Amino acid sequence: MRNVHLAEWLLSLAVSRESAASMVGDLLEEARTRGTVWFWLSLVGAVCSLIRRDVAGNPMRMLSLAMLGVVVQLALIAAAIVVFALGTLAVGVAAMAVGLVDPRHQPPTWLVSTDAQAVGPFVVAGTIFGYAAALVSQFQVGRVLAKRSPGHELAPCVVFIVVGELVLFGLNVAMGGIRYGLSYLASYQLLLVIPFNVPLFAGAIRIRNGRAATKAA
Amino acid sequence: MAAPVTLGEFEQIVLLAILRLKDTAYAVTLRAEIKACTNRTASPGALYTTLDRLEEKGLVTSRYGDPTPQRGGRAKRFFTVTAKGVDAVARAQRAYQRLLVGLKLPGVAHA
Repeated sequence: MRNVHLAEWLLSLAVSRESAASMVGDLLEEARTRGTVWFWLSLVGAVCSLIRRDVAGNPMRMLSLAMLGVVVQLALIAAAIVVFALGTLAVGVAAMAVGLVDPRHQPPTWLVSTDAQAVGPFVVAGTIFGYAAALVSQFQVGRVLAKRSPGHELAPCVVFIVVGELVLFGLNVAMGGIRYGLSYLASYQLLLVIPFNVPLFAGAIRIRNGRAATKAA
Repeated sequence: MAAPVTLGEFEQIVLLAILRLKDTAYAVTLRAEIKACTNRTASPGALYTTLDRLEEKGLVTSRYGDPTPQRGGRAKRFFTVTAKGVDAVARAQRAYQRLLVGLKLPGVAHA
């Protein structure tokens, strides 16, 4: 059985709730003869068409918002690096103060080991912090873009993803990633697109929902 | 004076279909009418974006009908062509007619 509430929610990301309900009603009416697969394919197609319309309606504005998103993300990642550096410095100073680490020697190798068999806790913490910072920064970028695009909250996020993917692909190629082959690079990037952009859309949807709630009140 | 509104081919098809259907023009009947008259299958997405664009241009207006059980209690969105829409589609059709003058195309009747 098709989940019409999910369908309505998906469409409400691109149009008003009232329009979304009416569109789902149209699709339900036709799906009685055309089937569930047609229903979902048409629904996804409609959402894509509506977002594409928002992008095509003001492409330069959407592109400039996407560039703003890149700047905001770089700033947030730089801030995260500074926070991590200061945090590890503080931990190091505290460890020296209580005598856990001798400042005259290098840090113990087990602490900073990058060996796949026994990754050091410092490296693990850095990796987790890096991923967390990337996800949080994506969420914030989604919020920033949605705030500046009332009524079309998801469109700048889509352009941001396309711009980001192109930049990332360029960087990967420039850094020698091309030696693994184009298809490997493309699939590697596409695999990362989904998990890393869920928070981006979550941030944008949060702003859109907030606006809808204010409007309804 | 504002420049006259220009219409794309699909926009004209949608406007003419709404005019043909009068008070019963909503997405499902519009798709059926377009298919019957042009043998063209309009995807729901293309139709919705075109209808929204026409409404933004002030060429059509929409109103919600009463919810019906066969649609899961969801209302139909009915469309009506405005005077500006009638004017725009008539102008576009006159332009086609002028272009046809002096031409003999198979199966095309000339005004």
